[in-house]
Amino acid sequence: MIKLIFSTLGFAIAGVLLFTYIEPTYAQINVTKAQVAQYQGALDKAGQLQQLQQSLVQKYNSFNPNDLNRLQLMIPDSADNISLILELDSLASRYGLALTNVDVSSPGAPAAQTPSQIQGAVGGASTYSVITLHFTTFGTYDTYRSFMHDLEQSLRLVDLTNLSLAPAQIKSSGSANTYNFDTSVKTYWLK
Amino acid sequence: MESNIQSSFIPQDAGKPVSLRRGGSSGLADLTLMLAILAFAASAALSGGVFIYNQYETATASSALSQLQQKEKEFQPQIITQLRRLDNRMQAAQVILASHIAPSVFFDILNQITAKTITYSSLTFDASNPKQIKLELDGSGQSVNSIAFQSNLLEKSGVFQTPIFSNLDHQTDGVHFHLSAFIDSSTLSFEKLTASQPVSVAPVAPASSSTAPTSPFGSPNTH
Repeated sequence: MIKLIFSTLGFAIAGVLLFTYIEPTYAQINVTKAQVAQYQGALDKAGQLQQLQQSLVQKYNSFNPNDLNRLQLMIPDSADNISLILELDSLASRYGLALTNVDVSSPGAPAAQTPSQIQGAVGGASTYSVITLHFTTFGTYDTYRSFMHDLEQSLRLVDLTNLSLAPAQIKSSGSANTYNFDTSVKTYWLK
Repeated sequence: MESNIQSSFIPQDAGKPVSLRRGGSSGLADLTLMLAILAFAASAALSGGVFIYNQYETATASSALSQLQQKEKEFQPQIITQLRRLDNRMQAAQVILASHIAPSVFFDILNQITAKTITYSSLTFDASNPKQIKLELDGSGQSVNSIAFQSNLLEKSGVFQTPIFSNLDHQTDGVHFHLSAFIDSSTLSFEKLTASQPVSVAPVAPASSSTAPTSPFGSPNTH
């Protein structure tokens, strides 16, 4: 009788252990193993990314800081309209040209953005925006040529989009004829 | 007379069959008990094993997680943003420079190929589409022949595409005309020009200069 009781008790405890602890714990272990595998995968990728970051930082540090600053001026972080106008005016004044009717199209204006934006390499999104500046000036043909020469070689990228040249109504005090130059230029800034 | 003394040392009941009924029942009980003990022992051992394995896996997971968190901390988002922005800036600069034109070259070419008998009074230069720059000119020539000569010069230059002279009008100061043409934008490409003249057009910053340029228009020839 005692043997029967012990046998029953033994089987019962074994069954209870099997179904209430071993089986759920084993299921939990499988979940944890899957989690560990995910973590390992993430760790491997993190290691690769860290190596990539290190190599990129090394490359970045190898750049001349002056060149980086020049690149920053070439395509600035913001449109900075007022600064652009002042710089253009300063450049024009070197040749005795005065900028009038200065008008800057809004950076968000579709007319300025849609045709000019490019698709960036990363994710197909455009990486820069365009602002268009329109101004009128008058002077001699030669001074305007010199002005345009400096403008096209300026560090901030400025592209001539439209130019209308017509004789001015008044003549300058010198012998050279003066012209009205109706100019539109576009410049760029990084989004 | 029958003697009580045993003639053999072998017990008399040794050859009789032993009753197995009681002994068989006891054996089955023993077997069951043994199996029960085995099952109990196996389940106990399995429980222990599973417990240890679970602890091990949990420890591994928490260790991997802490390593991952450590790696995450080692990443510097500011540097990544900075690098990404620089990459975008370089790519944008490359694309913009590829379509950057040098209008002063156009003026130089126009100077070179304009006949002395031709004068232009107005000019419209439309580069809103950099691949197809449109040119409209009004001017006058000494005669129709000089206009024909000018047309010939424009066509031979290779810079002006499909030059069309129209609205020819004889006036006292000569023959007035209207000229429309397209310009081959590759001839005005800043990139090509600087590639052919790297020293004069695109000088590098002086090595001794440690300060960055503060103004993009500060000095010419700064690309």
